[in-house]
Amino acid sequence: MNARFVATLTLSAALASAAATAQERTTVFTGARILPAGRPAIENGVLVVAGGKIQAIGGSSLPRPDGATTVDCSGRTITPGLIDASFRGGADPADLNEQSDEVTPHLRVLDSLDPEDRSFERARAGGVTTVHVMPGTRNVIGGLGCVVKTWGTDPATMVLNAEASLRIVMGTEPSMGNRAIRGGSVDSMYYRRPTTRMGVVWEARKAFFDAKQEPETVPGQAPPAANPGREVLKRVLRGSLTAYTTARSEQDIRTALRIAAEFGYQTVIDDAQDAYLVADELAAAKVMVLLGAPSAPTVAGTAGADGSDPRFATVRILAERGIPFVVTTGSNLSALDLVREAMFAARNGLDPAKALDAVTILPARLLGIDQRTGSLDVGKDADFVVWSHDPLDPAAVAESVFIDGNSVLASR
Amino acid sequence: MRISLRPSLLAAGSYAAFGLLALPAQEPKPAPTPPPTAEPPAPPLAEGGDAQDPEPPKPGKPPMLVVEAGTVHPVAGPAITNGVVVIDGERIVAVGKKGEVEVAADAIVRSFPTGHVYPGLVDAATDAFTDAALRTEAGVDAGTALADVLQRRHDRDDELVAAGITTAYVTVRSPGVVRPQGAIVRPTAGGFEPWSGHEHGAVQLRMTNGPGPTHALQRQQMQQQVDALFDGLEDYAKALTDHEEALKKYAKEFEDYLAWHKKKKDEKAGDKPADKKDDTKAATPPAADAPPSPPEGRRRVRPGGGGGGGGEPPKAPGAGEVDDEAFAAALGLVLEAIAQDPPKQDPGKQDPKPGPQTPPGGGAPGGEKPAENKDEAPKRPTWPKAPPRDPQKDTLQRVLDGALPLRVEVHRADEVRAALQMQRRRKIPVLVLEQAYGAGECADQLGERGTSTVLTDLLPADLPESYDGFDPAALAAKLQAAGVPFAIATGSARRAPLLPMMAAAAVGRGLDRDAALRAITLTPAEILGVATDVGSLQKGKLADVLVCDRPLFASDSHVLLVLQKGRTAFETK
Amino acid sequence: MHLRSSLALLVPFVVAVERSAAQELLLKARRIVVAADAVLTDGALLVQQGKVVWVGTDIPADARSRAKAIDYGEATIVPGFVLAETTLDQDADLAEGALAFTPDLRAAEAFDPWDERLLALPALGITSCAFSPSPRNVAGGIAAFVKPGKDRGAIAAAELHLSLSLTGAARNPERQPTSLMGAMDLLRTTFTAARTGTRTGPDAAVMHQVLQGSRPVFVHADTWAEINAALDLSRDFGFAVVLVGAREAGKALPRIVQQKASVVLDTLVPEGRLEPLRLPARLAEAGVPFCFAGQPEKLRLSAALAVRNGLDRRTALQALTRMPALLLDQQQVVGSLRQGSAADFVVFTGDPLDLDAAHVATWVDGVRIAGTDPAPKPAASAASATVAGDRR
Repeated sequence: MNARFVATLTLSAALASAAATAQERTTVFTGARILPAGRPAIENGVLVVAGGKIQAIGGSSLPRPDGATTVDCSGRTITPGLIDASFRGGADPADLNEQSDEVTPHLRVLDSLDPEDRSFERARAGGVTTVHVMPGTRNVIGGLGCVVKTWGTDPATMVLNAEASLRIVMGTEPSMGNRAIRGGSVDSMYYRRPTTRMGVVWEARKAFFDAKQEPETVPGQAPPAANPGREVLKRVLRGSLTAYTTARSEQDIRTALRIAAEFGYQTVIDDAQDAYLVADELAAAKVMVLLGAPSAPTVAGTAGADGSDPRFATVRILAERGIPFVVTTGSNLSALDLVREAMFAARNGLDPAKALDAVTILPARLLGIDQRTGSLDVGKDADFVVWSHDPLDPAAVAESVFIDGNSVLASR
Repeated sequence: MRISLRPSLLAAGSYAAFGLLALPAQEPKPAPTPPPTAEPPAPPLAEGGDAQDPEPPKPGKPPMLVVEAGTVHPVAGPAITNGVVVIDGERIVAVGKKGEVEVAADAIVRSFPTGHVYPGLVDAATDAFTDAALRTEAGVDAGTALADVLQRRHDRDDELVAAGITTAYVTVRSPGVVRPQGAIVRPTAGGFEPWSGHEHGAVQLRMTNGPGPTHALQRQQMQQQVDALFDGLEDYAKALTDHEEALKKYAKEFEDYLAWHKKKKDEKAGDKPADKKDDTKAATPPAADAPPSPPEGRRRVRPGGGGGGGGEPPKAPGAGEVDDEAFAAALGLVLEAIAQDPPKQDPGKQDPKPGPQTPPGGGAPGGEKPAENKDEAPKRPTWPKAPPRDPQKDTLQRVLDGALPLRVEVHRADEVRAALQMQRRRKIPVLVLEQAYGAGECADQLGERGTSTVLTDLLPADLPESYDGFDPAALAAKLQAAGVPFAIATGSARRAPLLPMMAAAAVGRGLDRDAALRAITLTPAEILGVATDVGSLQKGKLADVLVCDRPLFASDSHVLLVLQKGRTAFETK
Repeated sequence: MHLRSSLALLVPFVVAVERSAAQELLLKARRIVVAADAVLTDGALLVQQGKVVWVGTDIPADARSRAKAIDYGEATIVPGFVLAETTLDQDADLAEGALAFTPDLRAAEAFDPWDERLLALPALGITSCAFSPSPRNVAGGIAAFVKPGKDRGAIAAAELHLSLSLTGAARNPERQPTSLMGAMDLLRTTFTAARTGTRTGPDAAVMHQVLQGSRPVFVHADTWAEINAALDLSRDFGFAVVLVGAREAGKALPRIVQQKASVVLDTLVPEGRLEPLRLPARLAEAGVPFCFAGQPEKLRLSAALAVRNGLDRRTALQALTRMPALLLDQQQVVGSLRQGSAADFVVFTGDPLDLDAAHVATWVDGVRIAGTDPAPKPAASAASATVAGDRR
């Protein structure tokens, strides 16, 4: 007990000094069990970090550069920084939804992002170093999502991909707030479609239909009126931008797959709580599934039950059927920290190594940022977490979190 | 709570003098009468938790401290170039020109060749150390006191002393007509120390509805409501004296009653001489002792009222004077008597009003006659029911007695006039007006009566829009012209660093520079009744000293050093 | 109502102006602050036709004999304060309710020369201001340069900068846009359309002027996110930006410096947190041009508070006079007392950055429109003059 306390002290003292000149100085983290993600664990591993990048990683025999600061991490576990592929936060909720219109594909959530939002602080404390922020769920087609790190000296340095995805939302949530004729004023901008699930689908289908119908610019003729939203939808139709369709209940997942097939675009199914009921269809469509908050017994979103019926076994069923998925916190208000969601996934039948991959390297690949982060490999960003225990242990606490080699945790 | 007449008498004296003389150049006389705050000269490390000085007090006499500066502003007199302030322990022993004042050879010298030295500032109204909930609490009575609930609250509470404020009067602007009594505190770096003897600074009333739109009649109604607080105080006082009388009478009658039964018992028993002796001894001495002691003791309880705590319930009749064994013996007798002679009437029903107590059965005459007739037992006297104690009335009574000043928040001119009228009608000895934005219209009236005023919100555009017509910064000059004593105060802890700027704003609107300085030092000390100890740099006063790098009213003036009772309370490193 | 009163007042007004304009005036005072870094001791100011015609210590003999001398004795004369952003509390009249994008609206159209708020400015030392569209709309319109006068104010320049807003006030749940990203999209789309020429009309024309650099832009932005958004626009569309409000400018300081943005500060709240109180000193240290603005009643107090929190007096005075003039592109006319500039100045008994200096008089275009003339005995004049004549 006493020895351990001393060890903690030396570690934190060393980390503090390491943080000061993190970018320039070479720091070596020794003695930890390293889970690099995507490959086997390294016992008593060595991690060499300099210039914000990983310089070397290996077993205890790895040569250590001269003049490096050594941080003893024995008894601890090091993993890559976690990646939340569907993160609710990053700005004031009012700024995440543009309520004046239902279909706003060209709005960039990056414009609303508040680098000081409390959700980033909480994410960092839970070992999450990269998040995928999408516009809110109140619009049928909400706009462009972005991938950002959860810490940076300047918002510009946080951005990994400013336009990573297009969010589409199924279900009743986008129809909320719109009024039928019986209530409210006809003059209000909220007197509009959709007010039903059918209407939501109609809006989405119409948007893609219009985008498909629009003639390409003919040389010699006046260009058609600028419509940035349509341009974004065309990118989706061309396959250069991935759609993320939020669909929670069985019928919504089916609809999401149907529209995507109808117009021939690639989509990821977000917050797919009823995925266990449509496993066949998902497998056939070869889509990626984002499993939002597998620990949550309640339905995500703000539209009440909305028809879905979440089960803890979903994780196991998807894994058994070989349907690719990643674990996220999603839009569920009762989501736990991302690492705890991975723990739940492991507890419900997922191989622990895969559970860790589902919050690190797999979302990195999905978001196209695996060249920079997602695993501990030479040349990648020095985004990693020193855990007090194995991260899937319920007692695990992120003792230090590094982003680009900077220690970003407020001292506990 | 221990009740002592001394501080209140002293306070009353000083207030009366102050009220009559308007702006007396009060010469501090530390020696003749012990000032209410006179504390043992030992370092006051006790309660405030202010461990500013890490070194333990040395056994010998600590060396004198000398503050030298380019300019010393004693407030009590003209500024002194190249002045010194000599401090011995807690108090100032000399102020004068460098070289002309005798300084001990081993004295510690703090030198500020270009600095300016002022007495520690006195903030006559702040909400520091109070709870936010108190500021919205409307249902308090005047018997409650802030002193009982003060604690360090805001992050910026410690800015009081950092801004050079060494004495502050704490009050809250709660919405009710009656507010808790304010407290005088001594801000320190880590919190504050209550100023022992001045925990109950003044009774606070609010005679305004604030800046919202109000009808003149509505305001009149509210003014009457405040005035009505003083209704019934005479009856209340009378009920209390009557009750005392009744108690005395009861004690006497009870003795008679006991004596009669004792005699009867003795007659019956006949053969217990030892007991008889004992009993009479036990029963009589208190009877003999009782009358002389109550008069003084009682009178203390009533007007003093225990200050904030209100009156304690009166003790059992003469119980204070009866020792326990005697009481036990008497009780035994009473129980026996009751067994023999059950009461015919329910005493509770008998005296519905607590006023003048007439003993049961037609009072004394009825009781005496049967006593002569040896066969008939005297009626057992009924315990006189005490009138309900009202801490608010006790407190207001203290105001009328001059033991506590009354502070009234007023805004518009009609409210100022209503407060003055209330003072006349109720014969309130010490009245202090707070805020009083509209006082310009009746400044002459205030000047005649010598009613002092605490001004807040002096910075530009501090007041809500509906008060656009008021200009507190310009009001200061008007009050000065009319001879009204006034203090400039912050009103809130967050504004503590701005106190000098507020005074400067008044200078910018026509006030004399000296008067402005006085309005944040000596005048508030006078209004708070602590001018014998603080408010100016004078021999004998507490060594509260503020050192700035530039003149206090310059915007870029910074505090270099703050001494409180001769100890460093704040210093810019 | 205004028409009638203006007719009634027109004749005496014109006569008064004629007379005072023709007369040469020679104003003297102990200190004349010509510009924040140039102070004359025992100098004089020769004023004619509402303009400064001569400034210096050695008065030309002919002017001395001809001009009417006004000696303010021990007082200090400073250039009139310039308020770089104000709606004069007419927000309702300066923001279209139904539409957030109205860049072609002109605040000059809403200007009321008889406005009491405008006529109250001289008593606060302010001699000119940018009457601006309200920050309630994303693209509110074009500000006007207006000056108060003795009886009525006047428009000095009808079109200044374009006023944009990204603050919470501009994001209204009852009309487009309701979110920051919506506001940014609105501006991006319209700037892009103006650049590519796919959008025409008066509003696109204003956006086009911005892209060409012929129309300055003020952007209301308070939080870090809003400031970043404004700087993004400035970077993407290549225009220089003046940030208005910029409460959290301290966080974005490196970017503000890098993109050479300027700042128009809001009122400093005396009891507020220390960070905003120290912001002016930090901006000065970083070399960011800035000026004070916000509530007119607290303009001088804001500067005094900034001085109290570490700003040097020279920069503080500049931020009341020369800097706002520069940001409004009116530095040839106002902001300093040079030959040819408008005779806009304020007389104080001391340094206006100390609150114990009393305001004595304010002159606009060579006419005293607030305060008093010096009493016959100049030495004692200043203080007594204030008490008697100055209402606010």
